[in-house]
Amino acid sequence: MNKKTLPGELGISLIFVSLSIFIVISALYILKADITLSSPGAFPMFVSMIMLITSILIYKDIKDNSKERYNSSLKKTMTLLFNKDVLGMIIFILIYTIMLSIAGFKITTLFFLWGSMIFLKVGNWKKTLIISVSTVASIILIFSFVFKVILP
Amino acid sequence: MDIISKLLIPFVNINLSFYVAIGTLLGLYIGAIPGLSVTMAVSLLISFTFSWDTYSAIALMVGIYCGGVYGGSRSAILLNIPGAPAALATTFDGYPLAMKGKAGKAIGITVIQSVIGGFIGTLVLAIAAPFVAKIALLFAPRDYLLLAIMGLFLVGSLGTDSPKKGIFCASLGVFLGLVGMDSFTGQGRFTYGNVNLMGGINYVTAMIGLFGLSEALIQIKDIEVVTVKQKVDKIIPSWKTIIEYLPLSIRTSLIGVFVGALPGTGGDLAALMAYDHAKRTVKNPKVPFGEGSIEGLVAPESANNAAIGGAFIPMLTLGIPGDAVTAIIVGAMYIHGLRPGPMLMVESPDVFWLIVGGLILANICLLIFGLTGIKIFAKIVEVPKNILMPIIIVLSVVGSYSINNSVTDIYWMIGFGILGYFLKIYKFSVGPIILGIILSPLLDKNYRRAMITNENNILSFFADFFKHPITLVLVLFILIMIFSKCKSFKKIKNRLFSKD
Repeated sequence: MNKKTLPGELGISLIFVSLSIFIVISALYILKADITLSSPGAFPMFVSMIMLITSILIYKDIKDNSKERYNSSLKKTMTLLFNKDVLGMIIFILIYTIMLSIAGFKITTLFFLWGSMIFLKVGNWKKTLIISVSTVASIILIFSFVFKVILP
Repeated sequence: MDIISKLLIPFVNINLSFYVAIGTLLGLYIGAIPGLSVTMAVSLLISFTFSWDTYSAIALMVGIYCGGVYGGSRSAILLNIPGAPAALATTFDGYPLAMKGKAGKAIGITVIQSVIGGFIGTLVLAIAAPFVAKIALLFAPRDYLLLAIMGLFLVGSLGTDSPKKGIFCASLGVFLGLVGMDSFTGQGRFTYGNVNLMGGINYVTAMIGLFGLSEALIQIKDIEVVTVKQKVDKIIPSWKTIIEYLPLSIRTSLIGVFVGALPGTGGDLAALMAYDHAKRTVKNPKVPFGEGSIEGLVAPESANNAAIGGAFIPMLTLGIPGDAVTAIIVGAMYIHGLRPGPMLMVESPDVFWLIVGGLILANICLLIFGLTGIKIFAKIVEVPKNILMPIIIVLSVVGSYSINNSVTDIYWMIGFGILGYFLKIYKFSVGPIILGIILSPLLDKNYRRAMITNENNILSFFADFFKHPITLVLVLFILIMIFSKCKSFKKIKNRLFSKD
């Protein structure tokens, strides 16, 4: 049965095959120090072989079943995976995590929430500010005071 | 009469009733928030309750345990993010039901089923604890290995239309669980000289990333999709509905108790096995499994709460914890001068019956607290995505940080989140990865123990499959599971059962 592959589907299956080969080689390095069935490398070797076999079968399935085998282009793949909103949020999350250690939880989280909601077009900046402030306050109340969890 | 008076202690003592009730309520909300876990809550409680009397400390822990296991299903249904690994199977049908506007109905069913499972688990604990413990003791390392393999096959084939993708994800999870220090020899595996990897990869971080952050990114990708209006009438299932699914509830609860009684397993494996049992035995569900089937909610929810009673069986009768939470409760009991094990029933039978009574009361509280506030909870799904998703991301960051108070865990969570996002786009299921990480130590240790027992002789290892009845039964189950997925088996089955 032919079915349309998603852009980049063949590529990702190749990445999984490559990853599996890398893991098999790593497992071999562990196994070679002690080649017995109960050694630290035996079970990892077994698992990595299952990964390799299944990734090859997945790659084969995609290649055989797809009618539009070469539909993918890098541009189409990037459009599928990273639209503006997703890419923007990933960048925000990374900046947020870096700033946590520098500026602390309260200010960083407030700006992250406010900035994200404006970026995702919530609308009125006053409304988003109120939502952000109340969210940060609730998190501090629930996590710090009720559950005694240490915040970042 | 003496037993009954001990059983009623949590009911007649106002303080103990209060602790069980407050514990259940707290546990429900802790379990519902991804990143907060029952294990974490109970371990925090050990320090809190150090100076308390024994009964109060145990009553609070029992309440949190019971509420927390159920609580994980809330976020599983509403957000497709299991609050706990035991709620993983609940996402398969709970979230599709919420997407059809029936979150209230789903939550109502899960409350009732959790309470039914909880009562059955407690009943088995009260009546059959020593007997079930004896059977659990008969499980050899190879049996645990086979059980873990069965769990991975189950999750590899459930919740996905491609078993190959499921098995790949399960084996990826097992590989990730192997990263770190080998528990037998102390050497690093897959650490590549990095000291930070010696501690391994925390499954909670992976779960928050793969379910929490990745789901948030998927929702942001489709941010134009309008949120579904939730129908929150008829929350409490009718008696007719409860009776209709009662035979399934009882069967899956018994599966839950038994799996929970096996040390090292827990509600997550119990729920998946129960889900698979439901899929195999319910031939014509009104709604197909994976699309909002009621049976798909009944099975895992009754099993994971029944597993609580099961987990207490080896803990109280043998001193061997059934899961991570009971392991912490064992520690708490030692701190308070108790010795869980065969002598507990002789030296401190009141503690055994306190736990049984506490579980009964906790399930009653769960019924009350679980059925209230559902309308508010269901409205969470109606919050616009551009407001809800940034909040979920913040909760994911807080949750992953709270594990070890380390920013490194946040980066791990982000990495798993992006991986989970890619996997979901290309129709891979992320549940098998989590279960693989959780079961990896069980698989590795029991495989190596089995090999050491057989002096590294593979023929002797396989010969044992035919010499021991428990092993033989497990092997047959696995073979049936594998062959039932094959096309040739399906052809034979259709030919045999065809009316022509």
